[in-house]
Amino acid sequence: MDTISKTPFFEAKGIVKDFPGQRALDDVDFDVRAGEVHALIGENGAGKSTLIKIIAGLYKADRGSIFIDGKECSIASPKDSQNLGLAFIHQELNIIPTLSVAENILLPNYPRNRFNIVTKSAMVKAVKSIPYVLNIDADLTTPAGQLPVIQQWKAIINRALAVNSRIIFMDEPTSSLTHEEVNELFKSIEHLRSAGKAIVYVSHRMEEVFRVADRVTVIRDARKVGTAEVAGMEPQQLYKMMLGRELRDIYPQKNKVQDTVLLEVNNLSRDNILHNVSFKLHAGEILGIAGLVGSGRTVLARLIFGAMRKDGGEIKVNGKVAAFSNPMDAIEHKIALVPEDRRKQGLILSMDSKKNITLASLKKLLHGSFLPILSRHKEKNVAHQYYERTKVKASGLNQCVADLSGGNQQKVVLSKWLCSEAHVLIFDEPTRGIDVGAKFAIYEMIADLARQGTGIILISSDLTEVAGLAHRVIVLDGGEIKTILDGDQVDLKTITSLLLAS
Amino acid sequence: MSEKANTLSNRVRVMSVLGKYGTIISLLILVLAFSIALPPFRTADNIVNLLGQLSLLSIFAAGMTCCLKMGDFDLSIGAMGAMTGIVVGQLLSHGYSIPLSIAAGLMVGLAAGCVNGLLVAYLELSAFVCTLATASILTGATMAITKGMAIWDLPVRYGIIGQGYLYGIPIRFIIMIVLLTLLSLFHGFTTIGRRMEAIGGNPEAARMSGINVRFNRLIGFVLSGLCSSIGGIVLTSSVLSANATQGASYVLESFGACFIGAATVRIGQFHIWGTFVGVMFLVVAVNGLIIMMVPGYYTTMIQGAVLLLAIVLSGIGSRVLRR
Repeated sequence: MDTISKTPFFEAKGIVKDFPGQRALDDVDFDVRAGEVHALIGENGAGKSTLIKIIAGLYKADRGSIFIDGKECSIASPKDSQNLGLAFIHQELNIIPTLSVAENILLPNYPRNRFNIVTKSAMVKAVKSIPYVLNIDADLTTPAGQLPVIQQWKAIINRALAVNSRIIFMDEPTSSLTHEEVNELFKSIEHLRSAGKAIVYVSHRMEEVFRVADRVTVIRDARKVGTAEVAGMEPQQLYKMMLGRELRDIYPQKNKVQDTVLLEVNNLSRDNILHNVSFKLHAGEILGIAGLVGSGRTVLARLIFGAMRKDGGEIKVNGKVAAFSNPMDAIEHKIALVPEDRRKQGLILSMDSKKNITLASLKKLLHGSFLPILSRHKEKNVAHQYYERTKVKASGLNQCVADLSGGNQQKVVLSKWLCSEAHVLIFDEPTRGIDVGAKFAIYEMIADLARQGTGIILISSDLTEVAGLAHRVIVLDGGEIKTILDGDQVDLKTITSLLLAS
Repeated sequence: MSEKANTLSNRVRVMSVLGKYGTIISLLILVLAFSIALPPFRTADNIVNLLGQLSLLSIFAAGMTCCLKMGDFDLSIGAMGAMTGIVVGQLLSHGYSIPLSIAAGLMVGLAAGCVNGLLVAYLELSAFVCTLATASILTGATMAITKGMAIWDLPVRYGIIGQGYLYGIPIRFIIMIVLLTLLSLFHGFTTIGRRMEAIGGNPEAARMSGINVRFNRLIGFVLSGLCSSIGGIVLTSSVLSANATQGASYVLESFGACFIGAATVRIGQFHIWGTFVGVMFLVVAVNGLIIMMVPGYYTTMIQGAVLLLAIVLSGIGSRVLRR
């Protein structure tokens, strides 16, 4: 921490950016000091990636200026930002998989020997001579595409070091990393900081801010809420900055769980991914599942829903053993899944809301019981009922779902399952990529469903969400249940420490 | 500012209307131009002739549409049609009754469609390779049955289907219109039709919504087979003869018609009436070219070019043909 200077060497002042119909950034200031890790956080759509794109030279700001070492500079293209010592690492790593690790690091300036020829040994030597280079756990001549994601990350960071970047911007770095990889990335960040580099860490995950950042800047609804030192800050304060309300106001009151067991899972297994998972889900219960990428949380959901075949164990619905070989059977048994990737698995993007909402319950739309003929009238009425209930905001039932916002798309997926009258609803990352307003609305709906006696399984990498909604929380690690938290144990600190302990 | 936005949105609106109805407008222009420039085009004889050709291609293309709707396709429609014709022809020339022979002919399409569906939907093999293979097997079998000879001695009464008139309208045209109407109602108003649409949009999301994707894809192939058999029957009846290579040309033309259809009104989606527009477009274009004495090989070239253009306009070529 002593390497941090108190005066910023990078400053963006009064940045304004308008997109057709909405202001993406409204008079935002942002500064970075040498040797600090500065977290830039905000909900999806808050404007943080727009700010990064402006600094990177991908977008042009409508107003505002950028100063480096006190001098105003114009950044009109990615080339400019690179020349100013700024490096950007995006979620989709900019790696060329067929080139070797060394070639990727040194792009585009390859070292030549005295015959003006690029050789492997010269490359490896050049990589090793980069100041503060991160050690990569692999032969530098192997194709970069064969490396684990974390090693690719380190290669990209090395590329930034090779051009002597002063600030490295990392966009949502942990979203595709496993637990161990996250630890390794944080170690690398520590190393960069001690080398005097500044890191801007863009994320919407709060717990990471407390692990790596020195300062944090929060952006909400296109405006900067504030910048603060992380040391001595409470998670609740940061939440309030991020969401604009107190944590205790965000999550609805937890209801009382009923005694009836809706779903019982015994020793559920799937080759190397999931081992002997057992639990019971009660009526009116929200059962949270916390686990990192690769913990088997999504596989668990897909096994229960019949979207994947199990290798062992049994599933009981209302006390009776049920064997699902596909989602059709699961839906028959009133089980539903709001999948992780709603665009790929949850919606038919070419159809309108009306057709999507009724898709899993076409039987409700039949004219009579004799022929499988749909009644347009019933279709409209049925769809409208759930469209209203989940408060989808669209131009109408006939609007193509591809044109809806993420939050409204999620409401359409939820409507589909409400329409199918599911008794057990599995949510896999229900609020990923949706705006704050829709997020709160979905929390309300989940709590409401529980109050009405629906059993809910809630899988989320947003641990505050799990802690805020769930009655019990299963901590999943490496495909096994590490522990099941109940009652007072269900709180953010406990879950976070359990997940991060390794 | 608002004026600028207005003209912009006007332009967008004009473009979207042109995009949606472009194929229909071009068809009307084509018909109008041919009617003015080519006197033989507008004769009653030629129009009746057009209706006949229209009917045959529409029947085959409607079957193909059922497959394409779900992202599948069927290269065996011509071969299934030819096999149907041969089966019906053989039975008729052995003295079996017309209804029985026709029923047996329909069984050919039903069975071949089932086989295609099982291979593609249940065994998850490539539609391209499988239907190409079944097409080749069927064509080979029809050759073997007929020893390469055409069947000529079909009863004249059987010709009513393909050559008869009802109130001055060709019976095969009536058959086609009834078939297309039934299919479009089936697609638009039944649970299976709705499920097919969902599968066409996103098979994975359809499965995750509890739809039996395999079964519905199988139904698509069965419908394609049945349409091909109806096509084969109408075709043999029209010419009162059957041979092994009849119907082969309908495969490419059906593709063309379907893709023009997918560039009509509901852009990017295959639908029966769009396909019908596509059929009209192709049949009118070819007819005009023939009247203009353009040699036949150029018409094949032009058909190929129209197919490519339609694939580009519909914007779905990549998605469907990737399978």
